[in-house]
Amino acid sequence: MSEDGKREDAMSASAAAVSAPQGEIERLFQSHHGLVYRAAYRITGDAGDAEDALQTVFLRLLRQGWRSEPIEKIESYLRRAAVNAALDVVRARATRRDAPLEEAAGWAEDKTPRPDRACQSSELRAFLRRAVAKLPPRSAEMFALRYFEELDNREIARLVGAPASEVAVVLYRSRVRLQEEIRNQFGDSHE
Amino acid sequence: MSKEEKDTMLDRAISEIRGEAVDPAAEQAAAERVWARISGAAAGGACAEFREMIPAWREGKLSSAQALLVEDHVHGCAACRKTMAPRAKVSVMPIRTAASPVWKWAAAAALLVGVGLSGYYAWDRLATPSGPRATVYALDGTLLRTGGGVETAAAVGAALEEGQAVRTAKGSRAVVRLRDGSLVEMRERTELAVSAARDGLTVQLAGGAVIVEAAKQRRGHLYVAAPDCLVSVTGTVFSVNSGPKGSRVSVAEGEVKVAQGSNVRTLHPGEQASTGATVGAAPVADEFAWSRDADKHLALLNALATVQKKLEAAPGPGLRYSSKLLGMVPEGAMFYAAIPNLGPTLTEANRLFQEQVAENAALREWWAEKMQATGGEAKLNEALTRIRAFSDYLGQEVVIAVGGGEKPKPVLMAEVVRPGLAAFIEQQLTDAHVQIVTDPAKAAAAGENKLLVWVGPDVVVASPSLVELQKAAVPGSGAFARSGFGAKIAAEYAQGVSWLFGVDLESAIHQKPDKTGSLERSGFGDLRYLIVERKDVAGRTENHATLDFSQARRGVASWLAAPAPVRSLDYVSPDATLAVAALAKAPLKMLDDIEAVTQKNFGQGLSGFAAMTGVDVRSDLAALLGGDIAFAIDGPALPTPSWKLVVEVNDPARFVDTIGKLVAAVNAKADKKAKLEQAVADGRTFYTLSAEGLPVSVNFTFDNGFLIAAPTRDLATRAIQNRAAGYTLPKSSKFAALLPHDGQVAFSGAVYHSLGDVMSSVASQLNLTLEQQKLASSVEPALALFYGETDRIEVASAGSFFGLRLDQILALQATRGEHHGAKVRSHKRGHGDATAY
Repeated sequence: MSEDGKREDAMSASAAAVSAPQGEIERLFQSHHGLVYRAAYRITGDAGDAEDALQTVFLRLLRQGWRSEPIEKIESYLRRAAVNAALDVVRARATRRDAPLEEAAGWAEDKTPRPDRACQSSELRAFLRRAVAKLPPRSAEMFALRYFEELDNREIARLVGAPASEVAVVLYRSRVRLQEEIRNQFGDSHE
Repeated sequence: MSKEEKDTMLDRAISEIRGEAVDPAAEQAAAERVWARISGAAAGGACAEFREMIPAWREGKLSSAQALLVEDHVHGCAACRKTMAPRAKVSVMPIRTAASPVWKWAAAAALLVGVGLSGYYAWDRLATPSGPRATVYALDGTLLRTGGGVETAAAVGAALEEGQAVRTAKGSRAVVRLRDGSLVEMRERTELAVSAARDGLTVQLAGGAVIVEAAKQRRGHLYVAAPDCLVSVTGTVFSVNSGPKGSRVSVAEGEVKVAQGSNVRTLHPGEQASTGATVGAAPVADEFAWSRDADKHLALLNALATVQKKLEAAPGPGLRYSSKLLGMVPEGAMFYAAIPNLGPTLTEANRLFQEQVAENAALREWWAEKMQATGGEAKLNEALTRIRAFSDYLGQEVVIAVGGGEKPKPVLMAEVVRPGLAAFIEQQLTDAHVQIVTDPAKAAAAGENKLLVWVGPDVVVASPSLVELQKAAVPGSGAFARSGFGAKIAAEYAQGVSWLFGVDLESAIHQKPDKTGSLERSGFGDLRYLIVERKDVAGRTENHATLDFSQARRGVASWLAAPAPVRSLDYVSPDATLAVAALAKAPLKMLDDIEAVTQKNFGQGLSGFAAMTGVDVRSDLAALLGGDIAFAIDGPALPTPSWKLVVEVNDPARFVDTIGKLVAAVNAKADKKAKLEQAVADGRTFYTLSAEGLPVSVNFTFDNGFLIAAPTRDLATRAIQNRAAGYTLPKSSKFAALLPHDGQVAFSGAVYHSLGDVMSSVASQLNLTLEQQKLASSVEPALALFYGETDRIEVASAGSFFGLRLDQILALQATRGEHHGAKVRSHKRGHGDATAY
C-alpha cells in the first residue's frame, strides 16, 4: 500500500473512532462481496486475484472500521477500495515476476505470436489491464473508477478528494496514453 | 486496420471488460472462503493453520493478501505473536500527492517545462546512435526476450535493441555486454532493458539483481535505473538488487551516485545504500557472492575499501595562519584570492595508493588491467610527476591579486621553496605566450596576450602587466599590507584560511563619484570589504562571507535586523521546497529610509496614495507591521503552487480595516471588482481576498501576532496546525544537518531550498522521462544563514555552494545542449501519484 494509502487508512480508522462490530461487517460482506469481487475481477481478469482483493478490502474494514454512511456512499467506497486493492495485486504480480506464469492467467493467455493477435479480444483485454496498472496510481484509480466502474467525474472527485477539473484532465491524459500504447502494440504490424 | 478502428480499440476493450461474465458459483465459493478466513482471523481461531504460514511470512513468500491475513491474526493473538520473530515490513517509497489543483497552473508549468525539455529530448533522440544497445555475452540457462505478451528465448550473441526487455528464468544467469563494453551480470529472475541517450546508456532494471562492471565512460555516464532509484557511474563495479520492497546498491570498486528522489548519495568501495530503512542492509560481500567472478570482486572489494580508508585518513591541505605573499601584493589591489597548493595532497594520495598496490595482489592485477585497457598509466604518471614537480617548487599557497583602474591586470604570486624553478618553467613551458623575466626593473613591457614570469630567490610572480609585476617584485614596499584592506586580509589569516577571496568595496565604490548622493543616503556608501572563505574543518566544509561597513549600518543597509529567533519560520513545515525568512527593522523606519534615498518623490507619492485610497501607508499599514516575515513554497508546486506568506502584524483588526479600505478604493476606480470576505471556521476568522477575472484568491488569518496568507484556507490552517504540533522546518533534522558550525545561536535571515524536491515533484506530475528526472534530482538541499551585526552582515552555509556541487556545475557545462530522453517504462513504475483507499 502506498504511504498515502496507509495514512488515509489510519485517518479513516481514527475518524470512525471505534471499529465496526464483526456482525455489521458480516452483513456488509454478505450484501456487497459480489460488488467488490466483480470490481476486482475487472481490474485483474483473474479469479484468484479478485479473491485476494476481496479479502484485503474486508480485512481492512474489519481492522479499521468505517463510518456509518448511506448505502450509496458505502458502495462507492467499496468500489474504490476494490479497485485499489486489485491494482495493488496486479502491480505486485508485475513487479515480483516470481509467481508461476499460469497464476497470471489474465496476463499471458497465449504466447504464440499470431498475425491476427490484435483481433483477439482476450489479448486486448489483458494488455489494457496491464497498461492501466502501469499508469500512475492515482490515474489508474480514476481511470478504473470511471471506465470499469462507470462512476461519473463528480463522484470520483468526491471519492479521491480532488476537483472534478483535475479528474477530467487526468482521465483525458490516461485515455490518450492508453490509446497510444494500444496503437503501438497492435497497430503498425497490421496496416 | 484503419486508424479509426485502432482508435476504437480502447473503447472496445473497456466495453469487453465491463461485460465480462463472472462465474456466479466461483464468486460464491470465493466469498465463502474469504469470509471463513477473515472471520477465523478476527476470532483468533485456526492458530495452527496460521502458525504453519509464519515461516513463509517471515521469508516474505506470502502474497500480500495472505500476509495481511497472517498479520491481522497475530495482531489479536498473543500466543501466535510470541512465535513470530520480527520481520522487515514492506518498504514504501515516499510518494508525492497533489492538493487542490488548479489545472491552469499545471498547464502553464507543463508548457514551460515541456517546451524546454522537449527540445532537449528531440535533440537527444536525433543524436542518439543507432544499432543494438547490447548483446548476450554469456548464458547459463534460459534468457527470455519479453514484451507484447510474448516471450522468446535469446541465445549467446543475440543483439538487444533499444528498450528490448530480457529476463533470466529461474536458476539461470546471463551476462549482457553493453555497446560501451560494460558487462552486466544478471542473477536468476532478473529483468532489464537497455536504452541509449547522448549522455550514455541506461540499464532499466525492472527487478532482480545485477552486478555491473562498468567500462570507463569517455563522456557521459552509465546509468542503472531501478524502479525506485537511479545509479550513475563512470567506471566501476557495483551491484543493484531490486525487488518489491525496494532496492539495495553495493559498490565493490570505484564510485557510484545513487539518486532517490532529491536525495543523492555517493558510494565508495564497501559501501551500500538502500532505498528505504525497511529494506535494511546486507553484508556487501553477500551482494556479490552469487557472481561467477565472486572471488575476484570480493578480493578487490577489500583492497579498495582499505585504500579508501587510508585516503580519507590522509591529511588535506591545512589552514594557513600567515602569508609572506601578503606583503608583496601591489598597492591598490582591490581583489585578493588565496588558494591552497594542492600538489602535496595529491602526491600523498598517490603514494598511499601505490603502497597498497604493491602490497595487494588483487589490487595490483586490477590496476594493471585498468591501465592496460586505457593505456593511461604512462600518461597518468607523467601528469602526476609534472604536477608534483611543479608544486614541489611552490609554498603552501598561490595568491592572485587584481588592482583597480579601468583595465585592471591580475598578478599571481607564490613562494618558491626549492631552487631551479626558472629552469623547470623554461623546460616545461615552451609556449610562446610565456616570457621569463630575469630582472623586472629592466624588463621591457610585454606584448599582447603575453604572460611575464619572474622567478626570484624565494618567490615567483606572473602577470600580463609589467607594471604590476614590478610592483610585486620590488621588495620592501608593503603598502598593501598596511592598507585597511590588507589589514582585513591579515586578520583573516590570523584565524586560519584555506580558500580566501576578498574585495575592497570601499575603493571600488569610490572609483566613480556618487553624483546624486543616493548611494551615500542608502547607507551602502559605507561598504568596505567583502570577504568570502571556504574551510574544511573536522571533515566538514564551511562557507562564510562577511560584508563589512565602515560604521554602524544605517539607511537601507540596516534593514536586516540583529540575530534573534525568527518566529515566522515556525509556520513553515519540513516539507517546504523553498523558504526565505528575515527579521527586518521596523517597517515605519524602513519607509523613512526609502524617503531619505528618493527624497521628496516618495513622500509625495504616499500623500497622493492617501488622498486616493484613504489609507495612510505609515499609520494605517507600516505602523501595524512587525519586522518578522517569511515566504515559503510549502507543499506541491503543481498544480497550485503552495505558497505561504507569514508576516508579523501587531494590530490585526486595523490591518483588516486597511485592506477593506484598499478594496473599496480599487472598486471605486476599476471595472473589475475586488472582494474581501470573512468567514469563521473552528473558532478562527478567515479572510478571502479575490478579484473578478483573477483565477486565484488570497486567504489569510491571524495567529499569535502573525498574518498567515496562502492560496487556500486549508494551507493556512495546516501552517498553524504544523506550528502547534512542532512540525516546523527549523526543528527538522534536515534543517539541522545543514546548519553551519559558526558558534551563533540565532540568525537574522535564512534562505533554504530543496529545489531537487520541487523539480522531482514537477517531474512526477508531468510524467517526465528518466533523463529529465536525472536533471531534476541533481540539486541538493541547501541553507544559507544571514546575521545582521552592527557594522557588518555575515552569511554562512555548510557543504556545497548552495546545493550545487562543483562537479555538477562542470558536468552541466560539459553536457549543455545535449542529451536526454530514453523510454523508461520501468523507472516510471513506483513513482507519481498516490494510491488512496
